[in-house]
Amino acid sequence: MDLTALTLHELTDKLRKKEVSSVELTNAFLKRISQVEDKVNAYVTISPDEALKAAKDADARLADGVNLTPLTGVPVSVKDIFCTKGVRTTCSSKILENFIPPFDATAVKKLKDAGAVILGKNNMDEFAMGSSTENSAFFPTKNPWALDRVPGGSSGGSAASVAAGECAASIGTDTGGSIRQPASCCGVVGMKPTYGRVSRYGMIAFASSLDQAGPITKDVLDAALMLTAIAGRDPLDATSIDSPVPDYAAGLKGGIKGLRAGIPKEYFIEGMDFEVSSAVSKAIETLKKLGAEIVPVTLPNTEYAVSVYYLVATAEASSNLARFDGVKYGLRQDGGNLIEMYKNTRDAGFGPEVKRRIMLGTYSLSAGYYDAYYKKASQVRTLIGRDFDAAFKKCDVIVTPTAPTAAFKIGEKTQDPLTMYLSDIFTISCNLAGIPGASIPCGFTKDMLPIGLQILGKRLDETTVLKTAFAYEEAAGWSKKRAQL
Amino acid sequence: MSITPLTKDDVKKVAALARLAETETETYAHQLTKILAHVENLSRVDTTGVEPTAGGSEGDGAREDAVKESLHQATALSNAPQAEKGCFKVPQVV
Repeated sequence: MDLTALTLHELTDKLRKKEVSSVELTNAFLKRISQVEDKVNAYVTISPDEALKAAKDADARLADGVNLTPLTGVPVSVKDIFCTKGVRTTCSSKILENFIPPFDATAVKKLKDAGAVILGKNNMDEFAMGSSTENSAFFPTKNPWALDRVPGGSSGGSAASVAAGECAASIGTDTGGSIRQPASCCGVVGMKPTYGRVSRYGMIAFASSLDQAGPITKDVLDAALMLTAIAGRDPLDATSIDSPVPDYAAGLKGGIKGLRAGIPKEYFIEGMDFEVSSAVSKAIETLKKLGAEIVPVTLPNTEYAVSVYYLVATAEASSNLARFDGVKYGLRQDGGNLIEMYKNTRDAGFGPEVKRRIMLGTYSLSAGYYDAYYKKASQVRTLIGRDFDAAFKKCDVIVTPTAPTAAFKIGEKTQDPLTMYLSDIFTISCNLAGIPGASIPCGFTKDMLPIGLQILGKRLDETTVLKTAFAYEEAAGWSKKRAQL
Repeated sequence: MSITPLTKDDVKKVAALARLAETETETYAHQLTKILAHVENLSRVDTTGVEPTAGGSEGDGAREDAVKESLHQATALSNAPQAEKGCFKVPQVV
């Protein structure tokens, strides 16, 4: 049996029944990585020594049978935006190419405390800026379903590693769709929790008011298990929410009879890819058959979301990325004086998309433009939040496509930044409103490219989002399909 | 406000503020103008009296200000491109 094709919860069962040890499992995944990584390029760094050590510890814990969690002994991967103590963390940028963090991100620490085995660090768009993983300073990641296509982004390495069986599950981050859009492109499950649900400590900041960590997994139960492990209040992140973490896995069952599923007309636009819209329409029919009530809702400010996002996110990025200056860590390029050293370092260390966004953010925050751009965008952001408040008075979840198309070809959108930005058109509003959202597989195009269904929920109501996703998954069965490599 | 195309000089000014080298100014001027033209649609929205959203959530605030162990000096300096006598070293400032 190919252990690497199994879900996290199937592996948990095998570990508990002693059918396999964590060391055996870790070796199986390391072998799988060595077999397919040449094609997929999902990892920036593979850490076999640390992984095998963690696996031995997990086996001891499993032998004792105390303090076990569903993650104990299971090999996972982590997006290279999370600091990992003693293991290189690059954010797929040359400016951090040799950065060895002296501490773990809280989400990583929680995975380790739960007994998970971290296999390595996943490739991504540099500083999470992109929707295709082509903006990695090192190499692009390939979509395991079609190697000439992108895996989506920015958490493309995480999604591809899950789809390719190079880990049991992964964690990514989502600022404007960076978990959900790659999950959609790679035919896996991805969840962006409520803003503040998972600590951002040790997660390299892109846009602090939007960034949120979450799981990328083979099925919905796995997503629930991973989220339960990483969520919770953290004194090291003042924006983390002090609300009890439910057992998300326990809340999945029971069906969705009577659930009100809102369908916003603004997300079913003219010119949308036909295969995507028909797959999503069929998924909505399935929800109806499962007993959900389909409710038309309206989110009138949707058309402004991309504009708001690119002003708010770049403004925050221009400030956050000021820390990369060649002084405390990372790359340094010498110059005649301090200012020249900063400029040379940042010029050599940042890729073109990162520079473009820093410049856009610097421009919109600069004297004379602040009111017209940043302030205006923050006001429209309020209106987008109010749209969701109003819609959720009429429904329990909102169902939309995750992305306007299936995975596009490598190189197809790299010439025009704006075209690339529009791949996030359906995922961005969720971050602006701070609400939870998931993407789950809902079919394939005729070329066997995965299509994703997005389910959005009320603030802190991950349970209903996951329950809806679980009911759909059980009825539709798409999550059982695996990419052939 | 309507968009006047960004000039190479505008880009140079922004690059200097952002501590970026002032290269490829023409490409950036063109690309940034295009993006700014797209975000121009926000001017159609009436935001009179609407409070700006400052962040994703209020969160639950700062922790208690208690003394606890932090990184040791050597660890904190372990990634420094240049360090001397327990300090980060930079080119002469004055």
